[in-house]
Amino acid sequence: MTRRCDLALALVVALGVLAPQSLLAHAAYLTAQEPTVISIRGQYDTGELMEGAQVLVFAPDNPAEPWTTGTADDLGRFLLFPDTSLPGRWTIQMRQAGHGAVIHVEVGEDSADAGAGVATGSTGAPQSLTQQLVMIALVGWGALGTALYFRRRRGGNASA
Amino acid sequence: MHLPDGLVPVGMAAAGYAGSGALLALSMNRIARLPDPQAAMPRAAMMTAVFFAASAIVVPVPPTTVHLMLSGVMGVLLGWFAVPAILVGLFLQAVLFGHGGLTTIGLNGLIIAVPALVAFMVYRASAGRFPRLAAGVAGSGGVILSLAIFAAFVLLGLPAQMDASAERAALVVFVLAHMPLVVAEGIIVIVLLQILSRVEPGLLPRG
Repeated sequence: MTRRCDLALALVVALGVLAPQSLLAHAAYLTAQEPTVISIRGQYDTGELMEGAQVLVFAPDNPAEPWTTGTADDLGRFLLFPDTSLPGRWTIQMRQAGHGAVIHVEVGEDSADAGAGVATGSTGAPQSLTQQLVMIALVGWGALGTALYFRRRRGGNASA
Repeated sequence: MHLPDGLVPVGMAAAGYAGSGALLALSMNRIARLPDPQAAMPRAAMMTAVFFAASAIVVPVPPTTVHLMLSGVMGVLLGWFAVPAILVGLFLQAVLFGHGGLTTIGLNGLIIAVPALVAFMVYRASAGRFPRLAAGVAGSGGVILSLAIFAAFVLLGLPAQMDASAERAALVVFVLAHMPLVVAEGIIVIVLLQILSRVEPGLLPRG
């Protein structure tokens, strides 16, 4: 009796060890990794969002061919999930109707490094009040100088 | 309406520099032939300042915004002087305000300067008979031609991976948004020439 039990036990163990992987229970393995997401937001210097703008993403290993392409959402945003096995400087281009900007983002092998911080890329900084005042002053100065020049010239005193 | 850095292929940007360079050489040659080239210098300097500042100002055209182009105004008032004036203005805008790009000055120069010269020639050819009409056509036509050249450059430099139909649709919206500007710049040239003829005839174009 004991011998029969030993044989049965040995058979079960042998089947368990030798059985193909597919015959085993529905084993599943899950791994969790913090995602590397880079959020890109496009807006014009006037504050308008780049809604529906096209996005081209270039990986560090191939700056000529886009790694992926996409479209910005209604808020001018595009979410990039870069391949962290390609560390280096990723280039993201957002463009619409001939206008747009390019931004470079450093992605490291360690996912925690990827997308850290905030980078900006632009083709035109918003005009500050100072800049606008400088422009107005320039135009005013040019107009005044020209008017004085012609007034003097009309009076026959111009030397130029 | 300036092409920025980074969106245009390098070869196209280089071709833009070559085109603008040739246009500048031609203009300087024509300016040198004028009886008194120095007489137009103050006017050219003033219009360079006006172009530099005014074309950087944003004009709201709901639902979007546009920039003044002034290609017609520059052409009518400056003639061949318009080319160096526009290139200097574009350079200052790119360097001081980041408006446009340094690598695309050549292309942006062609976008504004070619229509300016066409406007100058149209005005010179027809101002004798129909001065107001000629001024309006030069002002409005300059904007239309600038838009056409801009759109052509954008489509020529479009990467193959981009959705061309989506970009074309965006360009159509962009061009339509500039229609009020087409009318406005035509009116600007008419009014400006009328004011100058009364106040300061010395600033009027001399052909």
